[in-house]
Amino acid sequence: MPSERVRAPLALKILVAGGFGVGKTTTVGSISEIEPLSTDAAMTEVAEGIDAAELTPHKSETTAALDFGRITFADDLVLYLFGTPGQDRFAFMWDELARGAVGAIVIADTRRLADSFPALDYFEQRDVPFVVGINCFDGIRLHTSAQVREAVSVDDDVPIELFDARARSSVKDLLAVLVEHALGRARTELVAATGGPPPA
Amino acid sequence: MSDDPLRTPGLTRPYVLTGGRTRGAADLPLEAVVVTERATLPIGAAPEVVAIVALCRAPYSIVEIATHLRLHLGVVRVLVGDLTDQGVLAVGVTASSRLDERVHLLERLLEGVRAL
Repeated sequence: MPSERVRAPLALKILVAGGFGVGKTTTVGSISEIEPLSTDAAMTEVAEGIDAAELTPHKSETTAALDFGRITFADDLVLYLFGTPGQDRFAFMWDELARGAVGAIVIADTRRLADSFPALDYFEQRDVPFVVGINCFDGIRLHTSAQVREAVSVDDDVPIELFDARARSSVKDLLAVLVEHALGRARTELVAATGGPPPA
Repeated sequence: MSDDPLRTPGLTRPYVLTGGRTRGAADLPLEAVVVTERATLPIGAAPEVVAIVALCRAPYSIVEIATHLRLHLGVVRVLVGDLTDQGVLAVGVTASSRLDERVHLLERLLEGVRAL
């Protein structure tokens, strides 16, 4: 009789950021095994506001929320995807979300690239690995990734990919690009820290 | 009157529940997954505690607990921290700060994502 205890799996997280209406929730929903859940950011705001005395714990009337999804890889490994709320009003949430994150997908819309700048700035400054995903609404590709790279001026090693937030396979590919990028950086850091070649 | 405390229940009640504390010992990240180890609770345990222990017969993260039970994230953290200290809940590991462990984890994650 298998009467083994349920064990708590190891949990990792990836953030999905970008301007309002750029496709964050759609992206999370395309790949999540659960219907994306939404925790009321107002609840969060009140809680954190009391914790950090400088934030007035006013009851927010906003319905802006922290969306998240989940992918279970095995009974011992789970990935959470967090759609980040707007940085202007929920900046205090970002440090919390970024802590320990594998990395971030910054979704950009080429018609309003500037909307993605706060997220790009944030992850660059915090040294969080990120990729830029250009959401091709309705399959329209208005610009190439090279044009976007020039426009947003991110480092050459930051991947920039065209993708479709509604297509599971496309989101999956983008996730893989991010994890590969984060892994590459972690390996480089490991080599630098140990002062030798990477283990075979 | 608009000052009626009954009309602003969200501001005090959650932290009465936690004895005024806003952080658990573990300072758990949102994605940390917990599971119930021992479902026996003292008589008089707060309903929120009972609900968390019941929910976590299956593994759930801090943020999922808050969402499903409609509790504040900060409150869930404190309660889960206490319940973990008491051995009622077990917490899974989250991202390691050790580089070699991190590399290994990311390798596993990459393998998993590619196989989706």
